[in-house]
Amino acid sequence: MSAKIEALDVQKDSSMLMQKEMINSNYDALTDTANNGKKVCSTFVPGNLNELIQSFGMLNNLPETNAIQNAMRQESGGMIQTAERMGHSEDVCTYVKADIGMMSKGNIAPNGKPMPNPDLLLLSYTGCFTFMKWFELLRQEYKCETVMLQVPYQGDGEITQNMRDFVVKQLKEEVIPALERVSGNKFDIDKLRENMRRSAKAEDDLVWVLESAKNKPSPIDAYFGAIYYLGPIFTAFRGTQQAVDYYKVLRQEIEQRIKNGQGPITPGGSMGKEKYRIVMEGPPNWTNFREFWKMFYDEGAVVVASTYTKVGGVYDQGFRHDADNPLESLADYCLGCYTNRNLPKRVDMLENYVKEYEADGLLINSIKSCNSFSAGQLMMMQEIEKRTGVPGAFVETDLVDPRYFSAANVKNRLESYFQMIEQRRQGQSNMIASAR
Amino acid sequence: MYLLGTVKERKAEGVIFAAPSFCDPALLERPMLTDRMREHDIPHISFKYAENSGQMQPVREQAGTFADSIKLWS
Repeated sequence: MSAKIEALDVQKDSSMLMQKEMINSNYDALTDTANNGKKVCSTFVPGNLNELIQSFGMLNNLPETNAIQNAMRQESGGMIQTAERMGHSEDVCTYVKADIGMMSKGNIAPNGKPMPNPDLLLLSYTGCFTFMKWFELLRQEYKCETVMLQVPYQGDGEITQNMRDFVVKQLKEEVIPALERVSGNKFDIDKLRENMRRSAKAEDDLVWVLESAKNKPSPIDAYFGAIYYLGPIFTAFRGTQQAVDYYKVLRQEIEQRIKNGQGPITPGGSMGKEKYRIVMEGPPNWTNFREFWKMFYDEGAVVVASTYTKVGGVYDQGFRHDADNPLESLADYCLGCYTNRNLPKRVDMLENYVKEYEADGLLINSIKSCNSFSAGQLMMMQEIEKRTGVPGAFVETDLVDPRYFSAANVKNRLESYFQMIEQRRQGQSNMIASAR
Repeated sequence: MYLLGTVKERKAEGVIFAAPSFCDPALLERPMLTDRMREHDIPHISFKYAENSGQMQPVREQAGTFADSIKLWS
């Protein structure tokens, strides 16, 4: 890997190439378990215990990431319809239906090879009730060992010692014994500590990258572009040397872009003049990801901060994996995930983003089939408008169901929204001019 | 198990699965439950309704059809 990194042009695109290679390598490892003998743990992105799973030599398979990969390849639509024919409602989470449809179509991984059945279902439940039902469906299918880590919701907006103790107790009494049984390896706390040290290093560089959007112009797009940056740390690479190397290279690229006064790199090349700085709430649409992104960069709109990029960890709020307190730190990680935060905390976070990143507006991409994210978003938008004075707007799409992405509607709304920001700006400068 | 036990204990002739639209917990477990009903030859039907519209006419019609089918064919 490192030889390949050096061989790459360390400008612009090397981090993207590395990222792609890393994600592919995990699929290759997953689909080669018959030869490499590794055991597979299926788990979810928010609250994933990658450092712990890897300390047992197990591989990590994330069903929602598979759904995303299938959506970006335009394959999720057929999978969803297959699941609906099997009796699943059109209203429920489309990640689940894409996963069920993928299973019934031979469970083919994005590399074209069949995915192995999981040896363990590790449900780390962080603020999304659907996860629980999703794993019930998987357990029925795979009939493998299942372990659940119950993570209390931050109903009062804080992590108490009782909550932390409750999660640590489950890690000691339920999760670690299950990982020992399935992997056949004894728990080694030193391995876990090593992984966590590497996680913290990568997290430092990731935060630096995300906060680089405070520059004007922003050198990154902190929603569409950041999805690529988050790939390694949200999936199977947190705690690995590959992730440390990746975030180092990425940081160097962004440093260079700041020096050059460049904006984000988009699928259409370097972005033109930055006209609108936007904060985004909600996950992206994956089936029309590039089309959606184009609607922004064509108008000179760049996302400077987003909450979706915090579902796999809120590192910019100060959290780091702590090798000196490994289990307590894993508990804090799970408890702190964005989806596990209550609405007032989510509003506070968005308010800070609007102010710290000097944004011109808040845009919500409300997901039709994700109640955990979407409930309360209208209230959140109104509250942010009240607190910051910047205009909010709402678009509705879906995660991986192409039937719910109406390009013309979304484009119309975005164009009107950007025009409104422009008119407000004009109005403000007229007011200032007449006051002089 | 609970549902199968209840059907047996109450001598029920059928099961209605009624769930509000967009209720992931109720809607996601439904295929698992209806599979069990099918395995045990228990007549069943699934409804979905909007909690805020109060439009129950389609549900009334479906329930009537379900009751008729039990009367006629069970």
